[in-house]
Amino acid sequence: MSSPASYRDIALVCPISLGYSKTSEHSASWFIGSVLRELLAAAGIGKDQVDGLAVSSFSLAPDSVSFLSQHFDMTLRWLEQLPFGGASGILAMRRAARAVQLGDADIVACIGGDTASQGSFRELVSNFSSFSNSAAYPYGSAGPNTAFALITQHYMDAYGASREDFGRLAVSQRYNARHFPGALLGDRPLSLADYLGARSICTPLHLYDCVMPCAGGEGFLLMSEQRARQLDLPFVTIAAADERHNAFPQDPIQMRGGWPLFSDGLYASAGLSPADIDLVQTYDDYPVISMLQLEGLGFCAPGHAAAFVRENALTFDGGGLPHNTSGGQLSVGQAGAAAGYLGLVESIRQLTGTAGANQVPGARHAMVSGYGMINYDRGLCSAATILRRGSA
Amino acid sequence: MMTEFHTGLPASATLTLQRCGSCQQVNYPPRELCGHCLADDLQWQAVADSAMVQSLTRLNYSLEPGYAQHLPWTVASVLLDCGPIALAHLAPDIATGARVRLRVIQDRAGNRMLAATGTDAAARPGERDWLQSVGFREIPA
Repeated sequence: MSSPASYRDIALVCPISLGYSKTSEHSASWFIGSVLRELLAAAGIGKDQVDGLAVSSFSLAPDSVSFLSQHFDMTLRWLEQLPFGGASGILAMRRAARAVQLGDADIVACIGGDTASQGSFRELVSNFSSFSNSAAYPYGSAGPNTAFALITQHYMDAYGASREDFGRLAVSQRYNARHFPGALLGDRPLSLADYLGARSICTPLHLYDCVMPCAGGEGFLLMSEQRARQLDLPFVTIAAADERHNAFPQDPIQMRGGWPLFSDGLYASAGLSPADIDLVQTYDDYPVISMLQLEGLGFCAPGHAAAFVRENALTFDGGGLPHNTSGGQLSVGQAGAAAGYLGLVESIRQLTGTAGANQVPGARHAMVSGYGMINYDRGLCSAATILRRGSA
Repeated sequence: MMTEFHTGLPASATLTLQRCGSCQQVNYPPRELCGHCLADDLQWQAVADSAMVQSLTRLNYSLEPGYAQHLPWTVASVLLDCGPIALAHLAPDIATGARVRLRVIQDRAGNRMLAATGTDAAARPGERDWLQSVGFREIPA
């Protein structure tokens, strides 16, 4: 199988996260437009210099990215709308990078934004896909909790992982979130005892295994390295990136995403090994999925993530492998499709040294992973990228 | 359950799923083309209703009032001997790894869904009590 061509000369700049709230009166277009405004301000450019727009949102309908061009009064020459949930950010980045490399666009704004209201989560999950509608939602109607409870229980049965192991992820992420002002749950400490004592949602999942749906926006600008230098913007580059969809369909229960199919290629393209990665951002809709990513991306062998999280500090300042350094969705909140951009945006902050109190000192390489689209029993999209601190 | 679901399962006392006339693959969830060979030749046919429980969860939460009144609610992932993976309502006292029989049940709103029970030809008394207590009934032969 061929492997992706180099992402050379592409720069990611201006990480923006904004507007996190449990519910909002604003529409998805408000979140997307607000991120765009902040991106322009951070880059010091005018709207007319952005000629590409990539957008992901679960709550934008009936509008779409083409309607946003009129709403935001922009004449664009490249558009993408990426309905890939937790893989959206990396997929937007990959497609926008090719557009810029090939001259289809000069500066692309990549934005995930979603609103949330009382009842909007039920509306989303009760009509998510035809397979989900016919074969998942009717069975107890607990939304994605059902599939992830089944996956988590199976993982525990197969590998002997315990609730404490999953709790280590949740607790370390909350510690990170307490150093990141944008995190919705950042003002609430979480101990392992708190985690273990939480109420049951769907066995074996308890409250702190489940993300809190919320509103919010995430985004960044993608342009050539040369343009980033001209604009004097700190940037990161793409050392490698890849994706797979519906990998290992014969596994009766999801035990791996698509990552094992391409992680060796990522490290080879980047000229790195897992030991060279300074921080990792997994898509943590549930802790078990973070474990599948740690395994699939080569940080430990399949089935060994529980031991890995016991043996390695995961906090931003613990000296181990900093993981989900802003708190991840479990502590920041899951702002719909924006959650698929969260790890990417946080990594751009980290690698440009602009993260603030949760800065990982001297971070040079970040692994960012995405996972999304639960059709009825498993997530179908897997993506990952290795980002590198840009040299000025 | 008063909510209307579109499960696509036909009213049949025996488990009836879509089998491809071209490649013989049994397809589930319901669809219009065979997922294996893409032929437009799916036919609803009686299939083997035997399966094995792969994983199970007790839901202590539901977005639908019809289930919320019956919590905790047990759901299993089962691998059918005829191929597909399905979620099913799980009868009491069945563990992961158990062999089960998949039955099509109908709830008070008329939704036809899959329930996994013991392997006996007829539902056991405890299973009948469970079906009745949650408002499920088997499809008459």
